[in-house]
Amino acid sequence: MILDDLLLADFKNYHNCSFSFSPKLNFIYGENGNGKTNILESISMLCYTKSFLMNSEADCIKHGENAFEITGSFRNRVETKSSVKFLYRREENSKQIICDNDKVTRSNEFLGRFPLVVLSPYDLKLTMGLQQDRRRNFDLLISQISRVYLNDLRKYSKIIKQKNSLLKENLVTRRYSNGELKELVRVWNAELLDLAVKLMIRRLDFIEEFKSYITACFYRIVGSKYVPVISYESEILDENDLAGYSIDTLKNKLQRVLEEKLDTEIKRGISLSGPHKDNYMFCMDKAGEIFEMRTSASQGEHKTFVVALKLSEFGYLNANLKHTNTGEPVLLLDDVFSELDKSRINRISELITDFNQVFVTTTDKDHFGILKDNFTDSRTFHIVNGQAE
Amino acid sequence: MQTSETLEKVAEELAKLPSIGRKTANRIAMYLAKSPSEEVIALSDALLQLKDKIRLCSVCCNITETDPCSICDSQKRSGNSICIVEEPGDVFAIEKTNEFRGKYHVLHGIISPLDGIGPEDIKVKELLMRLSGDVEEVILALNPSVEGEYTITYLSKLIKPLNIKISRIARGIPVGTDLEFADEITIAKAIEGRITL
Repeated sequence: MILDDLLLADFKNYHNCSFSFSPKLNFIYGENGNGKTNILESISMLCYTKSFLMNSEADCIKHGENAFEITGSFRNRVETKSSVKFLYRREENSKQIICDNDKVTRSNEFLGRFPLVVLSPYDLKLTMGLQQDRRRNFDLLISQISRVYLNDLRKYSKIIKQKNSLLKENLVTRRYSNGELKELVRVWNAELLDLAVKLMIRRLDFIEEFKSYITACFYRIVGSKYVPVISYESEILDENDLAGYSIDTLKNKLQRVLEEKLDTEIKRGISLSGPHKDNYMFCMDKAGEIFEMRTSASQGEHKTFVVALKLSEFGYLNANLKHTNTGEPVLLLDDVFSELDKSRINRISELITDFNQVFVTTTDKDHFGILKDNFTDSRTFHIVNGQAE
Repeated sequence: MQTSETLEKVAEELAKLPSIGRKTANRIAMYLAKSPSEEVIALSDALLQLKDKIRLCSVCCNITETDPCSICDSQKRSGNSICIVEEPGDVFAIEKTNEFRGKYHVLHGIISPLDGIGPEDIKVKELLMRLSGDVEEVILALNPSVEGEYTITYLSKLIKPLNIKISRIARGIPVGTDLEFADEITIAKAIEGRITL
């Protein structure tokens, strides 16, 4: 997939600005606060239907205006063009996505049509931060290649919402007796059981497949000094299960855990077990010793891990979309080269050599010299105060 | 834009109706204002009678003018199988097929804690009271939403001990569609619910 043109109207600090991009390297530079990242953010909104920075749409409207509009025209592997328009109006708080003149009413049918991988400084929270960030990251990745997964995930979240609402309401209103409430919650548990196990198995399969990508990518950046390890942490999985889990054993186990936790859940008014509480663990294997990233990695190791992770996501998406007309994902690198020494920049730039379309933002114009030789085509954009020069 | 308070009020009331927006409401109100009085009186009479005559059938909870309703009262229909639906509109949809010869039960809603609807807010009690008789089979014809599925599981848990056959309607590929045009989710569901031959 290639983004040929982009038009921003009243989006953040852009009043009306159009871009025509290179199918290979797009180098966006400028001083801080001029709107480099805003361009990447608008692209993520076209592909993901929301901002990779998790900003609300209302915050993306240019100061003093009431609406914004992002229009992008894409081209897939077989040269078919598609235009995507993202409209937001503050008054009605209405968000509208129009793809090839058709309103997108179900975003789960849209996600994955324009695959995208973003690497930004905020991604450091993946190795440093909370488990929900890691879950969200991989959910988004798997969803881009599996609509069934996205659908199951949405359904599961809805069930958890309903169950939580039942538990929480009853804490306040005491509408049901303890026995009645238990029966009602048990039915929700029965509803979520199948989906929960399906999601877990999909995630475990995903890790199994993803491992080879991240190991290879790591090797190309740091050599054999250490090996990345990603594992799935769940209450209902122990070491033995990972070797050979079956749907039925997982189901029985989850059912048991849910039943054990029923009293605590009722007392606390919230659901406590299931894949929405599971964790992806990032570790490094240094000559047989395992270190958890979150607690024992250095700044540089965090950064390297995240870069390798995101580039592997690219490889993973790419391999999974190979049989479709969609083509390779677009890669956004937001301010990735700051704080890195020249040799690392060289290494990363080598890694993205044979990539599809790449967008790079940086404050340092000199990085262009390092990057441009690895691409057959390139274009530079100097951003000054919401204008491209 | 309105010049008359009465017109405004009519439009406001109309706009409360489902699938009628403000613009359509204005247009209807304007149309009624220009219509001959007998037409408007006929409409308002019909509306009043709706409230006057329509009630819920004491057996199946469907909307009816006679109690019990014509379906519950019919000799030709078997009381052995009961089809459970969410809304009265679903009865009309199934009746159009002319295939189902049993009786109905209308729940008037589905269980959804997020909307504050519990089992006691829909016609579950009425259903259980009916099941003591010669009912042999219950068909759950609810929408395949999260809440619909929950209601299905909840009801089947209640009905199971009564030794009554329970089934739910199938979901999958619509009749007259090619497999290649169906979306992934539907196909996945259809494979899940495959039938052994």
